[in-house]
Amino acid sequence: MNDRNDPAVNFFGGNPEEIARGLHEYSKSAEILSVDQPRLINEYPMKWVGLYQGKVSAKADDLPSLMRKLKKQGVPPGDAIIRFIERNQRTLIL
Amino acid sequence: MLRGRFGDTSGRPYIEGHVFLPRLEKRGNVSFIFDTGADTSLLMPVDGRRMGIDFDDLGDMEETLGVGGLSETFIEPAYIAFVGSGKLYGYQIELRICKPSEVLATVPSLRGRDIIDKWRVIYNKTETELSAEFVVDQVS
Repeated sequence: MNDRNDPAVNFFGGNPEEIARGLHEYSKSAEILSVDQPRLINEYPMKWVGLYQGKVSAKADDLPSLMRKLKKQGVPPGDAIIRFIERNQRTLIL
Repeated sequence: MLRGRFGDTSGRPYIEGHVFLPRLEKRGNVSFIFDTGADTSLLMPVDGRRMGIDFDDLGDMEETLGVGGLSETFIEPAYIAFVGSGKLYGYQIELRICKPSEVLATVPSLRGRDIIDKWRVIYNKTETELSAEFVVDQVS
């Protein structure tokens, strides 16, 4: 239950505990993409993948298809990590 | 203490945060590249689409300069939250949202110095440690 008198609730636009819990889960899922984990490139080269709750929930050739697959599985896209797995990762200079 | 990670084949530094766009009533978790060279944080198209942003709803546009040249970005009021030691810390910023384009379609979002300047950071790739202490936070 959101308490609209709570400045933290007003600031974050939602329950801070729920946001913290969701963000913690999201960060755990992101660990799949860490350098010391098995490379997704071996299984999903040149695919869009959606990661949710610590595993690959869906893969597709393009982003709209992946979003549809995630929604069909009941995965909120806002809580999923989406990445395109390049076979030869391009050097990024931002 | 906020923990980040080194990801992808090249070991890019990432930190995860929660983005809330009150005007658009959109929110989502985002994995940001930790980029001390970026003046401001930037939400890339892949994350904008994932959060359900209708880019036609964005209005306040400016040109930003990167290695690839000029890009069109929209300025949107945002709240960004991070979890450190089980606690939520938040900042109010003017988030740049990148206009979709084919060349930027797969590029991750950037955590810029509008946030990084408020942290004390340990960046130790050799020992796989990326962490930050919150020197300044607006709500926690």
